[in-house]
Amino acid sequence: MSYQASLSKTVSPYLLWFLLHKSQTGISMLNFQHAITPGAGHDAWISVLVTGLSIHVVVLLIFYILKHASKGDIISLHVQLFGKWLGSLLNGAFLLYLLMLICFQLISYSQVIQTLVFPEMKAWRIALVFLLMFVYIVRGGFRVITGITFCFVLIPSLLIVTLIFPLQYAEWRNFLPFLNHTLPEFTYSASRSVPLYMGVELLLIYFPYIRDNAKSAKWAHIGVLHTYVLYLIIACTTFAFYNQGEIKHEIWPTLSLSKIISFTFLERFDYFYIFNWVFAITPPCCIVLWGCTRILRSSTSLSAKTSLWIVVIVVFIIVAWPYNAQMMQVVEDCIRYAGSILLYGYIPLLAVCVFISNRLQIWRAERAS
Amino acid sequence: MIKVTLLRLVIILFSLLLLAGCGNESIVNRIRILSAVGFDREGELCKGTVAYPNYIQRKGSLAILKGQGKEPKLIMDQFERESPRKVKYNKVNSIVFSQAIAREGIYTAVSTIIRDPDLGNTLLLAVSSCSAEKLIESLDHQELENLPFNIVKQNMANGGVPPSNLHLFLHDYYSEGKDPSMPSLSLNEQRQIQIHGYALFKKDRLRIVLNTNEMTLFGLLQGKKVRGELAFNYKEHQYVLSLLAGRSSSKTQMRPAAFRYDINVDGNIRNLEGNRMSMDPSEAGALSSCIEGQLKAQLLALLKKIQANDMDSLGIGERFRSEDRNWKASVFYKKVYPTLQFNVNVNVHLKNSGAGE
Repeated sequence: MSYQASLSKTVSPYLLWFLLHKSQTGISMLNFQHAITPGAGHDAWISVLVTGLSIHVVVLLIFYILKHASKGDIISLHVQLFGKWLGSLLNGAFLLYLLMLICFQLISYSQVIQTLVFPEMKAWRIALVFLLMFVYIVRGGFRVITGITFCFVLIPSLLIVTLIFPLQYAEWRNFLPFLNHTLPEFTYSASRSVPLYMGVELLLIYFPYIRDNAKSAKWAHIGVLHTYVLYLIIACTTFAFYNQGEIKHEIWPTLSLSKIISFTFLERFDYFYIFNWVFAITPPCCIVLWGCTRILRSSTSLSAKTSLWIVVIVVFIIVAWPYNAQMMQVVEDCIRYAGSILLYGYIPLLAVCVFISNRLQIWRAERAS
Repeated sequence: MIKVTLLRLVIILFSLLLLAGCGNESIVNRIRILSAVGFDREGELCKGTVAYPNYIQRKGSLAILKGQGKEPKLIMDQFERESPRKVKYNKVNSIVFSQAIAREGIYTAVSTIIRDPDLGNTLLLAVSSCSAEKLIESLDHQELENLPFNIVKQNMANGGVPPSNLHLFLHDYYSEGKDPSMPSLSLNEQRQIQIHGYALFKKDRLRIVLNTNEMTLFGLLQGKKVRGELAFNYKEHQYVLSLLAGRSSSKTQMRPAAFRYDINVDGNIRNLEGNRMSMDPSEAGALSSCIEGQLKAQLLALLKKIQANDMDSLGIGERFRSEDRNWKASVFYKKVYPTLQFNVNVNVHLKNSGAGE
């Protein structure tokens, strides 16, 4: 039986659907089409789907790992498996990874705002506004974060309807000839679509806060399904609207799609799209901040409030740093490698460790009796 | 307790006041919002002429600004230097190139436009048969409604102009198997802007301009929307077929390479002598088969004309690409396309000839 936090702090299991889905969708959704097309071209949507399917396996592994953790999360599991020192070190590494995740979201989003809407706006001003909002939400606790997540799934979902406008220009022949690429090309696209699904690993931290968590796997898988169905809709709309040559020249294809939408009362709908992405990046950032706070709190003697502010100040300094395009590329690559290693390397490795330590325990128990 | 709340209130109010003062103020009727831009070539330099609605002195009718520079951005800078008010180009909806620029290639200008997030994707790109400067100048003192964008938009919806905007231009430009096209504008004797044809490009260079009749036929072959008026002769009389609806489908054939169009159109004939059909219904068949013959000949001539100019404005290469797994643009346009066989089947259904006999 897996560990569960006290009842007053937990959320209903079905909310895991929204938590998991929303912790995956973020800033990568804006430009993933641009990143994946150099590989499998017009077939790249298949790679997005296959990567999405592989996340089901990752979720299965996470559930297996956490069932055997004494406090139900990765922080306690690290200490339990690897001892206090190595465990704390690994927790520190995980903290760094989470910091990278939130900084990447904020840096990319501030770049979108600076490029498309307010060229004069400094990154620190954008970071300040967002971080203060995040602090306000995270101070409310996990239940508030979940509530925000739920609302923030519903609001941007309304935007899916507006994809009808680009679909009026759809050229469905762009998808033909079907499956005209080689396996290495599909693999390239799949590796580039990993950032889309990063965020599922946050389950390793908030798992104890789900009521009846051992039985909630169903909702987690629905969340994953929701994510890749959404990505498929966006990818297919983009590929129908743009041909391959055009996607190469669009840095944020999802935003450029909205440039074709125009109403008599609202000529440029794309600004609406850009600011709607606040809804997309707020939940993952809040969950990450909350996770950072939890790691700091349980590994050191700091209080929740102090550790939250420490994390926020660190994030603020990193985000306010003036980045150029080359540095952004490095940050993006780092995040992609770190996420891929975590999802497809470290989590399976952890599952193997848990499996071995279980066997050892059973073997020891048998020998003792 | 009350003190703390009061303090908070004061802080909030203060920051509100501060924030409100921080904005980059642009009040719509106190700035110059450019609407239509024309580009001409003048030696080394590029000449830009723009029309903007003047809300203060002219109650919204259009006024003109002119500038010169090497790049669209530098011309903008010159407008700024000439103007007592802020100049914004976010609402530009028509961009007109002179034929000289269009023949040299418009990609350098277009690439500046697409990289600028201030411009939308629905804006109109057009070629001007006279100088773009004259064309835009004719808008002086006219209403905002008379912009080329609105003229073309109206004709795309109701007349025989094929759909065209910045997005479609880029889609065709970056496509491996299609060449872009855009409307061509001119000035008539009353100095009114009119659509006088349809410009076909090879990549970003203007090659030929179709006349209005060919433009309607071009739209018919594209198959997206069938509208417009076509003139015919039957028994030494002139008839005008008004296209109401229609469907055009196309089919590729690999070996030997051929391309077939099947065109079904519904139309009616309402001009003089059109009542021949209602007087003698037996003649309707002969009339429609005569129209079919003439339409087929015209369509084939148009296809041959485009082919002879080494262009693929209808996206035939794109059709072959989607069906042939080993398609290569270079091979197709060198070996297959120049000798591609076209077949056209036309079915005309004459619906009526008006309400009188």
